[in-house]
Amino acid sequence: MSAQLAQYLLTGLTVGAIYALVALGFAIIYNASHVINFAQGEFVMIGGMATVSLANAGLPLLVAIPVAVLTAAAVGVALAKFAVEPARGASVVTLIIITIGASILLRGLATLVWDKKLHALQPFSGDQPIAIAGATILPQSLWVLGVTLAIVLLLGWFFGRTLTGKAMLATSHNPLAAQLCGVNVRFVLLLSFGLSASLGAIAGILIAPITLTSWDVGVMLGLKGFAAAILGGLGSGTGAVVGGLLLGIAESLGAGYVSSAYKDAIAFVIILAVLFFKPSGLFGKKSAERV
Amino acid sequence: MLGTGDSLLEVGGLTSHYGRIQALKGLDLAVREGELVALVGANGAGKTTLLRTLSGVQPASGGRVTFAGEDITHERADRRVKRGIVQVPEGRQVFGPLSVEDNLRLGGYTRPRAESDAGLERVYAMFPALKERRRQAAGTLSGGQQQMLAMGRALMAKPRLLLLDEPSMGLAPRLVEEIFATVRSLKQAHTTIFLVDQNARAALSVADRGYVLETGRIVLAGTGSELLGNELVKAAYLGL
Repeated sequence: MSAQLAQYLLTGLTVGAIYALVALGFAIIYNASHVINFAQGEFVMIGGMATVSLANAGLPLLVAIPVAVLTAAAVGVALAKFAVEPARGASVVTLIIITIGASILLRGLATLVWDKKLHALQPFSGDQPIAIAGATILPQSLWVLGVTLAIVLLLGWFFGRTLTGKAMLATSHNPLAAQLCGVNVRFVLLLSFGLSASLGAIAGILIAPITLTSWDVGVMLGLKGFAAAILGGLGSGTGAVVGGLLLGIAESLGAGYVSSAYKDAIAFVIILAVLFFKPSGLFGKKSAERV
Repeated sequence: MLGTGDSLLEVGGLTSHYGRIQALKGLDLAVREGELVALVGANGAGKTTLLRTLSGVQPASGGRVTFAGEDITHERADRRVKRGIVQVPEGRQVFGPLSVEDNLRLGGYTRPRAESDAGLERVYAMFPALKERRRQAAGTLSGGQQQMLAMGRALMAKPRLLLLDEPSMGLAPRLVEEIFATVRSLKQAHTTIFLVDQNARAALSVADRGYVLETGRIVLAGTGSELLGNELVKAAYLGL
């Protein structure tokens, strides 16, 4: 493997892990409410920007990060409670438009609370590159990959082993039956928004030291995460992770071997290709149902 | 006959609407502790709407529902399950992609974990076919097995009042018999049951009492055998 290819793959995996986290957020909310939450990118922005401003205020990262994640989670829950839930029963398109409105509102608020400048966050453990197989990787990239892996494992445990996680899956499959089992589906909706917002915020914090952050960083990251979710199959957790990593690698290879000018176009070409040829995505729902 | 203080469930003047269409037009009925009460009626009479309203997944627009002496007319669905009002919905509604065991555990969602383990054993003893398939996705079960799973899932919640909506629908005659045998054994174990079924003869035969529902109103009430002997019931629901 050439050093150059290894470098592209490492870069792609790092960015892909971020896309995967954003895509997981899309999947969780989609499952709970069939809403495609276009404010997902704004959670990414809130995570990064809140951490930066708290760190600048002198708080250590160990404090700033949890506070930023909780802030984003609170915004997510508020979005569900005050914007999505009151519109319960409205068509999915209406709900999606609500989330687009919310994303515009949140970006506007961010310019008021913070500013319109680019901000840098200090890397968690230095910026001395580490050499692997002829390529180099930043310590921050290892943080990205490690934390993403931990989150994926944690989510796997949550949805596969805990009754609350299974209740969320059950609600996504059949909300009526879930209610009849005593699941509070309203709570599931709030929980899914809180969880997705936290995932988005963590993504935004992890990537901030590498790419800088600003009030509008969520637009592109949200769209890329959406592309990853579509590629993997909307609503599939595995799909979100695989879709994110594939998209990150495709972008990195495209930027390296074709032209970095087309980097952002690759995600949208992939969305179009998936929608044309396999609208259900790579891991789209296979139904095991007998009538 | 009705409205005595010892009723577990009391329904008075209950109405419910889908938009501007009124599906329930002022229902009165009661179910006493330990009783098996059947509700018969044609398609569209409002049977399923009534059960959905009792479970709280369809709002009541008027009237009153009292359970164990407490007004629950506008209580949330999940709170009613905690109280012990548990429904086996029409069409079984199992969680297809989840395993049989996960379906059952979700049935016990409102109960403490330790109780759920004991509940599983009870359900498996009742439906051995489910135990054999406990790791299988519920969606791959046959219709009869799914019905057993739906009933098992409801029993996991320790119902004080079990609402059964069309448990025999779409099943082969042998399975229908099996389902009604299960209903009978639940009754013997003193489970209070409110049963809705197209199969009026079978439903009224196992029931202590019954009601006939027509276009959102109760038009007849009586013991199971009285209703089975009633000319109107015979003509309309028993095909005699």
